[in-house]
Amino acid sequence: MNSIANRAVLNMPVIKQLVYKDWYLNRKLLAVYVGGGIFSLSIISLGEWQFFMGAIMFITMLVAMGNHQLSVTMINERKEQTLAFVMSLPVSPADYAMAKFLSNMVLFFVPWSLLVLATTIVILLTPLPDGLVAFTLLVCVLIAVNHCICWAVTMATETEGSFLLVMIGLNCLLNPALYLLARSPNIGGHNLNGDVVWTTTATLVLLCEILAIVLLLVGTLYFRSRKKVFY
Amino acid sequence: MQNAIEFNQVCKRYPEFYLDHLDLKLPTGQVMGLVGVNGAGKSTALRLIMGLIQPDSGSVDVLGYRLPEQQVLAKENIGYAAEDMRLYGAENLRWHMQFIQSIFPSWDPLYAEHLLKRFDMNAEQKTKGYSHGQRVKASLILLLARRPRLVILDEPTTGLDPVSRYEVLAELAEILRDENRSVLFSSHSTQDVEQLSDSITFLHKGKTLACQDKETYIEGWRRVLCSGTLNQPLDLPGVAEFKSNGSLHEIKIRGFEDAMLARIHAQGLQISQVERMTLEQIFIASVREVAKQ
Repeated sequence: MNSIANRAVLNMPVIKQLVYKDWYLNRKLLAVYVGGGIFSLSIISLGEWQFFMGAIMFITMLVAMGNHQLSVTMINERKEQTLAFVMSLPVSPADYAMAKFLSNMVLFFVPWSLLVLATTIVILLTPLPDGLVAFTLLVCVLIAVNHCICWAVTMATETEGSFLLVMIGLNCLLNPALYLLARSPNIGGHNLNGDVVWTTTATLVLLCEILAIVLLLVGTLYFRSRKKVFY
Repeated sequence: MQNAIEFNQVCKRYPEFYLDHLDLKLPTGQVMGLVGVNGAGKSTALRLIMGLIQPDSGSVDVLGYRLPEQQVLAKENIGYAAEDMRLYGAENLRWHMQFIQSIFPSWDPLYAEHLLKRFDMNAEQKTKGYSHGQRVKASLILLLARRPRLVILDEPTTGLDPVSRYEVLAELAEILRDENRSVLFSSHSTQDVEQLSDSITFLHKGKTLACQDKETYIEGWRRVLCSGTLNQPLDLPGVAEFKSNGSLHEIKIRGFEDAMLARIHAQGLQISQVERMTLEQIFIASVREVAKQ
């Protein structure tokens, strides 16, 4: 533990323990969602109805994984009064914000990366058209953007109501977004192509998504870290 | 002597509550009981000490650190347990002990095992199934085994059965033997405060009614029973409560001196009994006096 008298930096040893704690408490939950994602990928290339069922199930797993862990690590910590336990530890609001940032990103992006990688491999190694890769990647990153929006709102408001409202709103908007990507001639237009086609439009959409993620995370972390007190 | 806690003219305003220029000093090695009814400001004071909220004005220093700015440094040496604090229900106490140990190098595993036995706790049981008494004991194990310099307890004995209460108070009495450790605990129970504390602070509606060494404070109060007829209102300083039932009178006096008895006698009353008061009687008299004002 750092005991420098006038500390302005983050208490990284304790932050590390808090991140590990969240990982440990959510490990079974993550295993269930990763398992569900892999199951959905295992059926996706077996036929037409299996493709649609597998695709919907895969998207559901990614979305639910993000929302569920936000609920457990942030909302439940308040509802179940374990936040007081965390606040009694040598952490400042900035340390707490950093811990929640790291744990929620690790908890989401580690299994997300695994599942995106697995999806790409499944598309490339099975009879599914390789042209699906670009569309699939953009959809997966879009789900990551939604997760980051939910995280940012929950961090900023610390209320279950706003978390639920944003989560429902984003889920409702996901279908129109999928429709737009699928109907775009430069993205969805290549879905049935036998080769991977990566267009300028796809690059532009991907960059926009990544920029949105970076801005959301950095902005929220910056404003949340400025809080001097927990309440 | 350095103060473990020092509040200087601390104010904190909420829509329904105002902590009004609170001055509070807890010298190192002392035990202070913070007494007050619900809504008196006890939890607000404890939150200020933990750096969880910021005072609107005034200053809060804990273990020599200014709060909330230096809360991390202060909390490295504070053990805090609150009535509404919960542990992670899906994990057992052993997991919590290991978690705390990973954060506090001062964790004493032998003392932790001693406390487990003393409180008759099963460390392998998931905390979800704990009773209120077990929850309190688990919190105490987690905070005491790291041997903090300052212990803050918010209502540690509220809702405990008599046996658990005895065990908790006995262990608290044990840790108070360490003269370098300071303890501040809030309670509804003046009995617990009277048993454990060196000094007391009475809070009521955000104001300090008293903040003093316990023995001196209790010594300064008397309940005087007398009889006779008063032709005019009793002329005596420090009367906190005056009750009459026909010719019988009960007077509760703050800042008592023997000379006051002669003064009562001089006003035509026969003194039948002079009693020391318990902390509970003093607290009730103080609160009722403020309510009348």
